[in-house]
Amino acid sequence: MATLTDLQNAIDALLHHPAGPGSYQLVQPVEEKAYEAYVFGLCLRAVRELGVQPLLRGIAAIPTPFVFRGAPGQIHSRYKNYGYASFTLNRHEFEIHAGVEFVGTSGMTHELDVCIMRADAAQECRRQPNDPPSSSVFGAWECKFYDQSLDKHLARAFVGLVDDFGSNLRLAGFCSNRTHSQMREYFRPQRRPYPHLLLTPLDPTSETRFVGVLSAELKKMTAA
Amino acid sequence: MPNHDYTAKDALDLLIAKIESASPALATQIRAAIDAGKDIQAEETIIPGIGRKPAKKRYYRKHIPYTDAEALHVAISVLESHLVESRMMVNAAQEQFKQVGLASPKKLKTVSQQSIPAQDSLELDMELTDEVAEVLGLAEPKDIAIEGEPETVQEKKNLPDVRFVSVDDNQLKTLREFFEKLKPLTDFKEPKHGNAN
Repeated sequence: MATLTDLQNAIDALLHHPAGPGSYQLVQPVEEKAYEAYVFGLCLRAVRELGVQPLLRGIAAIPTPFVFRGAPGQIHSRYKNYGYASFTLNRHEFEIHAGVEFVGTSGMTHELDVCIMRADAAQECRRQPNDPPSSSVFGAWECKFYDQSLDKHLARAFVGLVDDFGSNLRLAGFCSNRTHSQMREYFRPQRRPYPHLLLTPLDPTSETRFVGVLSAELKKMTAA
Repeated sequence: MPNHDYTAKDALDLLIAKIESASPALATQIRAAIDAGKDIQAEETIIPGIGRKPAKKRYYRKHIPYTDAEALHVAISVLESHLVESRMMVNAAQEQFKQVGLASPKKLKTVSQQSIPAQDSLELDMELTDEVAEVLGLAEPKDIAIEGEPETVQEKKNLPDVRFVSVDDNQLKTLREFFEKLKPLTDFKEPKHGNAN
């Protein structure tokens, strides 16, 4: 039978571990952005699995460091040397961005946590500063790192956003390391985002699924 | 027969008190997650009047607090998210970035941008083309950062960007092992009683 001393020892071992709570600084917005970086990394992997080498770029120079926006921003902003990735697949040029704002079909602007868009539209909006149209987006992902059950309103908001992006959007996904008991059902109807729930490095199968869905859609779209 | 000589409430109080002393911020997160409660499907029996149809059941969703045993499970899960999962995310992102090269612009094209506010800190008259002279840093670790102070902050404090710092994989492995040791000590689920035959 386990005693309270056993429990105390197990908790103490955790607390005194070099990577335990004592060495940990909780900065929630950074964790949330780190999840976007993680999903961005999975997009890079999906592209590489198609035999294509993506490149990391910055808006003004080689991205050292590669800077993720701390808040939603504009694609043409030169406030910092924000990073993005570019790649060419079957002569179609794309860019991968994080935290960039787009104009929806209604005229309302929306931020996408991670997206893949046509490179020509991105370049045009950097040349002539403007928000890119939603029609330039191929894939869009909402990324939520949570330490508890997800809030339902996040799913509702993303469904509304996707609805305003029009029919050019080939792929939309709601990514989170957590889930909610009702969310999978909510995302079930056609045209709703794919629920990449429990997408986390703790579950390599979920990562493989994300990469597989993206690379298959990229292949299909560029084959035409 | 119980597997512990302490209750779930004892274990929860001990865990939170210990975390509080090491990281008050984490303890606050744990309490918030516990206080969010859970949804259940509640059941209600509707008894009709005498001589009418048989009793009916109706189901409805209801928010209720976690039990102590469930709250303990939530607490461990919050801890694991921050200490293990978030670090694994950073390591995973760094691994993917490592395998991708940095593009060196072949040439810069002059553009005129009249409307850019004067406070912008970078050169304004250059635009990268999509031509690449050479690829740098392939298979090398990349420096990744999260912007510390977004563009729209009115009163800037010059906060530095937050750099991604990997945690050694072996350290994460041993940390996960410690969590695995803690889990049976905080598991108060009733054992299933089945027919041995």
